[in-house]
Amino acid sequence: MKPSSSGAVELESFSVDQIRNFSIIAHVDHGKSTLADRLLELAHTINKRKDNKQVLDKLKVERERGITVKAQSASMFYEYKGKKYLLNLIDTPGHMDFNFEVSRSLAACQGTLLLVDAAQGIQAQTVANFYLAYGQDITIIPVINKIDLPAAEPDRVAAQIEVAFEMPASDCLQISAKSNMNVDQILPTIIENVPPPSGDINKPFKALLFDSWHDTYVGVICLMAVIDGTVKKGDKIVSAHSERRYEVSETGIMYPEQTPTSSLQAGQVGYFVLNMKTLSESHVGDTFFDHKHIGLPMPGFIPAKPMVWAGIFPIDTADFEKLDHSIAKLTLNDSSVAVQKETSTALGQGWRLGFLGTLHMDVFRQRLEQEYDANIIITAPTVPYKIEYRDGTSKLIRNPTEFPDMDEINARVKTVQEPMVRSTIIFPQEYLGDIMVLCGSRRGVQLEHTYLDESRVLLKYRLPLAEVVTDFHDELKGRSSGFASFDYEEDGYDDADLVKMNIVLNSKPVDALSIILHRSQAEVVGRDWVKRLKGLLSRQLFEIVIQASVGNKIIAREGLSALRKNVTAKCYGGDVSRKMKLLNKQKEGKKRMKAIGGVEVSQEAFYDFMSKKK
Amino acid sequence: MQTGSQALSGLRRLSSIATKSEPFSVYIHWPYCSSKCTYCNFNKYVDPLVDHERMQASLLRELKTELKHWNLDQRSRPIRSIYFGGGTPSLAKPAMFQSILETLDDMCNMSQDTEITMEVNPSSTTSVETLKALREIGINRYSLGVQSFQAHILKELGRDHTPSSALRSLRDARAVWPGRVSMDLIMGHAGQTLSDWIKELRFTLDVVDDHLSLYHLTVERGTALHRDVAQGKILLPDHELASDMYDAMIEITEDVGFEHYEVSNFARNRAYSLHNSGHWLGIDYLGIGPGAHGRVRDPITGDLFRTFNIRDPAGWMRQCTEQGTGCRRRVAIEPDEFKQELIVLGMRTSRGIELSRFYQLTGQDLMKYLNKEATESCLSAGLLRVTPAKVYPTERGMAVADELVARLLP
Repeated sequence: MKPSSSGAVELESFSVDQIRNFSIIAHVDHGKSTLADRLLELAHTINKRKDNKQVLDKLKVERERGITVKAQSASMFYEYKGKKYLLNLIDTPGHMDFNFEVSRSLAACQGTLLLVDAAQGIQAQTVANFYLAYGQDITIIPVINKIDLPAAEPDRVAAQIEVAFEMPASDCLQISAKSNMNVDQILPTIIENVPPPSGDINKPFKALLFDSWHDTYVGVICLMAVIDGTVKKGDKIVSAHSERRYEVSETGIMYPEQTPTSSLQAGQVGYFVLNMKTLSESHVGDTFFDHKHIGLPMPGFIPAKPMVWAGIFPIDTADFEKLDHSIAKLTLNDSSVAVQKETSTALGQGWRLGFLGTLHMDVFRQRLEQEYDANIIITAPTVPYKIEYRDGTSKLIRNPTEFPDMDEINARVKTVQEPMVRSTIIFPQEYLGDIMVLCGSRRGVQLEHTYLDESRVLLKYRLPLAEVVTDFHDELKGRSSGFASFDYEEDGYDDADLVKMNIVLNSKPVDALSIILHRSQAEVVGRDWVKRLKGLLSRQLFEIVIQASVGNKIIAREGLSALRKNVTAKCYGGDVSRKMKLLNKQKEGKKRMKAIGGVEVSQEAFYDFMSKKK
Repeated sequence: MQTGSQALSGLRRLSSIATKSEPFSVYIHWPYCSSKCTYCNFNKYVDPLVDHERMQASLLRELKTELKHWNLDQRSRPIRSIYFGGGTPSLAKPAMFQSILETLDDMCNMSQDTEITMEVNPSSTTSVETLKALREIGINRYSLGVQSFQAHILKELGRDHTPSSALRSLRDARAVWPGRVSMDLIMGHAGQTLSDWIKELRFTLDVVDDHLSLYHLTVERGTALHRDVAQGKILLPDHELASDMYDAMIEITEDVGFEHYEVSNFARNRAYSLHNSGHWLGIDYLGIGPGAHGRVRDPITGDLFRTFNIRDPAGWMRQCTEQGTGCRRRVAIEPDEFKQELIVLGMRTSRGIELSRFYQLTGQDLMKYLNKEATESCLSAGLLRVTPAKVYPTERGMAVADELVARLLP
């Protein structure tokens, strides 16, 4: 495709039936980004080079972890049976925490490639992604990847797909994106099977906004799927959500970088520059209309709710301003992170951040550390608990400090509820016993038990989200030699016997170490925490009593006896200057300590305590 | 709030009055040893070809220069103490001691009360006659580096004396300077048990005179001991055992009439070391010899200085010849630094810090200077005592003096 004399690509010649919008959905590491690279090469969107590695994964953390966090898109021009097609690949994140991103990407597609690793077979996210696509009523094309691996069993995986998704095994494409085997079958299959978008070019302009990001130079960039009509530079369009009017200052496609086009029309997917200043103006799921023809908006998206909350604090309190700036910059392009300021007596000034899940939290932390050089402490994560009062009101709790005390519970609270999830776990059957024990110990209730084939099991459990966000995933991996895969979706709230456990140092509670948990677990966790804390504290001038308490009841206790001796043996003439230098160093160290109940606790001790889960 | 310059001028005014009659001390460093001890990081050199004459001449030269420089060559300021340390000063020729003491007697106000200590390593060659000769010259206090009465420990420490020579040296010295002999002993050796230490201590208390320095073995960087500990070759007593040893040491010495007057120092019949306690009390001292440090006041401005001598004996002697002194650096001690030094040193002593003396030296009310919250918590924890006259640590407080001062200082 060549730009016209005006410098912009002309797309007018592509009618709706020459357009296909599709995505690729896959479990982590099943080869989605590699396949995307191959398809973009095949259509000459990118040149065939050795270093085409995951063109769509722009963030360092995405490449490192092999996951996609932000939706991206790329356009391709492809000739098939003498006809030119415009194919738009809309990338989707491959992890449960980002299901919201997946569904918003799928909303702009009519078809999707369900990619499955020929050696690993169906994994938990394959199932989750399948159901997301299935729910959107779009064409699903099963693709078995990595068929050239020595351990590949494509026929067995095809049989699994038939069992799990009721799709004929014979419909599966069998490819290797890495060595380019059968990749050429994919685009023809898409053209043949995925319906073109259903828009009408003759109707007034209407488009769905499904992603946006902030660009330093032009402000907010919106990715939209044009449903009806056409749009070009200078047109005035209006947001159904805010009723604000915008003048289109640029339209274009991702090819794979932003490439301006003379217009965008029904069925096409592209970017818009609308002179929006902040991301809050670009409401994902919003419908835009021609300003003179405002019609019915598309069904929007349910916005992502943060389900995992944690306090973030600088290790060195002097870094607060810098960290504040870094968090503001990071959240500029990730509106799914909720940010509130928080002050802790133990850890000082910080923030309470809400994430979609623990991976989302880890990715955010990693980006803060890698891209902004931040040294931070993250507290134990809390899920949003719901307090229902007798008078009919309710409150959502995102921080253990907000949890009602015993008196309030007795006097006013009807129920305390916790968020639940439906989880899917897939693993080789020899681990069945261990995994059922694990789910049972995490208060799980079994919903489904399916053999995908003679050796692979799919389990569905209903579990409290709180049990899942701590170390469930690690435990699962540990008990299945790394073979179990896991995904979950939210599933409402249940009543639960929840309590707040406090950690108390010499009778003073340490707010940063409070935690909400099920009554049955308080004692075990309490004993473990006080013991670990004892190991991290240094002896001081006074005896330290470390206790875990629920309400007024002490459930665990450890003592650390006072320091008996710490004094330099010799301190004469020549020793004094050195002694004074050491003293100044010691005093500097003390400045970085927080005194709780007269006990000095270093930020490093908190860091060590928090960073090592259970 | 008092500004730095206000405090400084206050300090000058008070101290220039004080300086006129304040006693001072002199420290003389003899840098040579006959062998290296595994734990020692002092400024010492094993040199079989010591040029005694040149060393003596240099010491004298520097002494005279510095006395004049600091205006100490006058009768108004008595000499509180003279200390010959090292190194191993007992390896020096008696003439060295004699010439230094004669010079000081000539130029300054030395009296019967001036304490003149000599640090000595036990040796089989020092005869009673030699000791008597030293006494004639003016040495009136003798500090013997025994370190241990056990042969295997002495060997481990790299000492070149034996338990029997230590015993004999102690007996001879006590005969020459009754009531004025001190000895050093080290606790906390690799593999040492509490009962080993108690046994050694009891043995020591049977033979000791009226002063004892009992040091917890300290692992200093750059020593053979440090290397062995870092490499895990030897394991020293842990916190609990070392604390038990320390507590036992206080209890057992007290039983036989010793007063624990500083972290590592014990005296009977008030036989305190005047030299060391002067240092803790903030008394000026002149440092003479390679690597010696001093703390002296400028006689005109009243500003307090710390002096640092060249460490290497050859370099130090060269500069003495060329410039009359081997001092390489004189740095003004900031008023705040001096206050902290007095507190750091004072909290290591049973007499603590006298409020009037602190005010006289610094122009500062000590109780206002200390961190109030920390003072109160240390008081209620029984680590500290405060009277209208002084602030002092309890036994338990002294044992954790390093932690204590880190909290008490502002």
